[in-house]
Amino acid sequence: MKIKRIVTITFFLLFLASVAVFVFFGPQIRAALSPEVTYDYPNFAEAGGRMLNVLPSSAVWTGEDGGTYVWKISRSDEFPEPAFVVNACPLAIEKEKDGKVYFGFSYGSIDSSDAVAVGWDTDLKEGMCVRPER
Amino acid sequence: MVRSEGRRGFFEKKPGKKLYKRGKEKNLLDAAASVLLVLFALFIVSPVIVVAVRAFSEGTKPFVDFYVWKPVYLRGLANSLVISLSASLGTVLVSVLAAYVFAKVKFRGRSVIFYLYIIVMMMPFQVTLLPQYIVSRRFELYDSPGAMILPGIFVPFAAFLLTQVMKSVPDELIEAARLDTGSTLRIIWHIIVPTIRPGIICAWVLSFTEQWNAVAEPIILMETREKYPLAILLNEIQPGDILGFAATLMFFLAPLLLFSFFEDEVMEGLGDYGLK
Amino acid sequence: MKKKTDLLLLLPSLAGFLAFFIVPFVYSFYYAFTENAFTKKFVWFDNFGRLFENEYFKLAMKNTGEFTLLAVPLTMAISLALALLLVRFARRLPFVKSALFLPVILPSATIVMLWNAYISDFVPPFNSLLLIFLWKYGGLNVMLMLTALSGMDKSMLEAARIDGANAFQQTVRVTVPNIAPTLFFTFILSVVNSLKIFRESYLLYGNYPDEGVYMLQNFLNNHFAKLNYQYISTAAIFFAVIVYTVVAVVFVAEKKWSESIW
Repeated sequence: MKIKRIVTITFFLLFLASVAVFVFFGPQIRAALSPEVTYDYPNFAEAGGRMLNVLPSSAVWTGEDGGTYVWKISRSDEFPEPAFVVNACPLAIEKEKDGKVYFGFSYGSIDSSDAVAVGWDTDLKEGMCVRPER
Repeated sequence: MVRSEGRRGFFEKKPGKKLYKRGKEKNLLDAAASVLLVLFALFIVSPVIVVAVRAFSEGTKPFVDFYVWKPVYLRGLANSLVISLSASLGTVLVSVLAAYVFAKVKFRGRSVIFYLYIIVMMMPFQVTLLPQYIVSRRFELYDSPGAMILPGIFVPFAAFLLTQVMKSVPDELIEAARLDTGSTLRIIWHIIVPTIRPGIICAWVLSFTEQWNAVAEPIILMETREKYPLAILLNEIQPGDILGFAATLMFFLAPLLLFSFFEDEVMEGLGDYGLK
Repeated sequence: MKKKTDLLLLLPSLAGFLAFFIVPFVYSFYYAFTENAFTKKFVWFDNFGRLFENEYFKLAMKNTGEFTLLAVPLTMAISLALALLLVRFARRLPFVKSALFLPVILPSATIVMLWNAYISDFVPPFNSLLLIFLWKYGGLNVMLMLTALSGMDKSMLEAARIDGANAFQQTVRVTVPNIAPTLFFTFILSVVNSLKIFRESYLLYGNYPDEGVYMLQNFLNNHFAKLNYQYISTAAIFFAVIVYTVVAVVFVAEKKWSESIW
């Protein structure tokens, strides 16, 4: 068999194999590559006669521009399997006390129905896939 | 570059060729021809190079995206593979049988039917597109891979090519085989197919490529994006979309590899194709 | 002794061929000759008449014809010239033959995207299509002609040279007639392929391209979207008839030519 034939058939089989592997095992691969993230929903708290949202301080991080953000977890429909991604969401903190932060309701920010990441091991990036755990 | 005769056996095979030009003109024309060849080759190959360069211009990240994080194109590639492989294998299977009949079995109306195949083969696909749309609706194939695969299996191209190829199989061979076994199918499988192997491979590769690049049929016959073959998805990428370039690279890698691997067979088969 | 049951072998291919190509095409005759989907009235050639009066149809026909008439001779001339020049190298560089075939297997979408990105601002639409056609099928033509040229009997050339013919005369009087069958075949192939340029045209210019490039297939596609079965079928049949006629004419001409030479 000529060298050229061996080389091209190898590449072609690799090609087919790669497609098959990533199509059939894509979900597992993505899951394995997605960092685990603990999440929670904001609670309500009353302070000074107002209703405020409460989140653990661990959920908050400072962005490059100096603003405060949290990671909001949402479903992604980009993939054939159900998956979750994180998006940076700005937060206007009113008060911080006892390891919790309090913030008000505002349009475009977190509300009580949003899942927020409260603990993570590796650095998260905008739009990254994650595996949420309670 | 060596031009002395006999050195490589190059001139042994074609004794007449060296008489084409003599003396000093030979060198000048050779040089000009070389330059022209290189230019033309570059002209032909340039798109491939551009795509490859751009696809890698951001390292391997786009490829990781292609496989893992943005599997849209991967799905398209998988669809294309499924459709093209099924259609091309199917058409070869069906057409080998048909070619045997066209080439070796005389019956009334054989020429008529064969010419019909040729005519349909030459028609631009729009002529058959509307009918195929109707058929796909009728048979409930609309928006399924079957809408592409089924007509693809019965496209007359392979039958035509294989008939031409099969005509060169000597009748005596078949007769001799028939003494050993009466079953025509066995003759085909054991005797004819090995003889025509290059032609069959050529027909398969060309059918695969034709199906792989088909753009108009999927647009008409399919609807959901997830089922689209990659050929259509690639329409929408922009020059800045490196992921798209990576996908394009993967896309033309398939027929390229196939064609590369079976180069000899395809060349041989095309030669037979021209013996119309 | 060929068994009659061998005919059955043709059945799968024929059945599918009929079902997916012939019968639907015949069915479209039904559309071409009736008024519309609701009244199903038989109107003879009314639809054809209306078709020929349609401005878009006329434009499409004109453009399609123009393109074919320009593209095919141009490509064939260039291919032939190249093949004649390159025939000495064909053996030495086996990559050449495969490389020539490359544009055919490269998907249209790719070349179109690249064209859009880098070149389309400089070249007007019609010429764009011409160049793309040349790029795509020129290599194929050269390859076919190269095959024919290398298979040609060189002794005739030698005889002509001895008779005193110079290079030019050798080419025109001896080489060309010898590869005439291949030339005819390439011609037909190029005509058929020139219609396929629609793929690239559609990718470049969409459903409603400039005036100069609105071709027959655009017409068909657009009416397809409107489900105007009558127009589509009529145009398709007309198109089919033309293609068939052209091919048949060339075919017959080739037979006559070969007979007159030998």
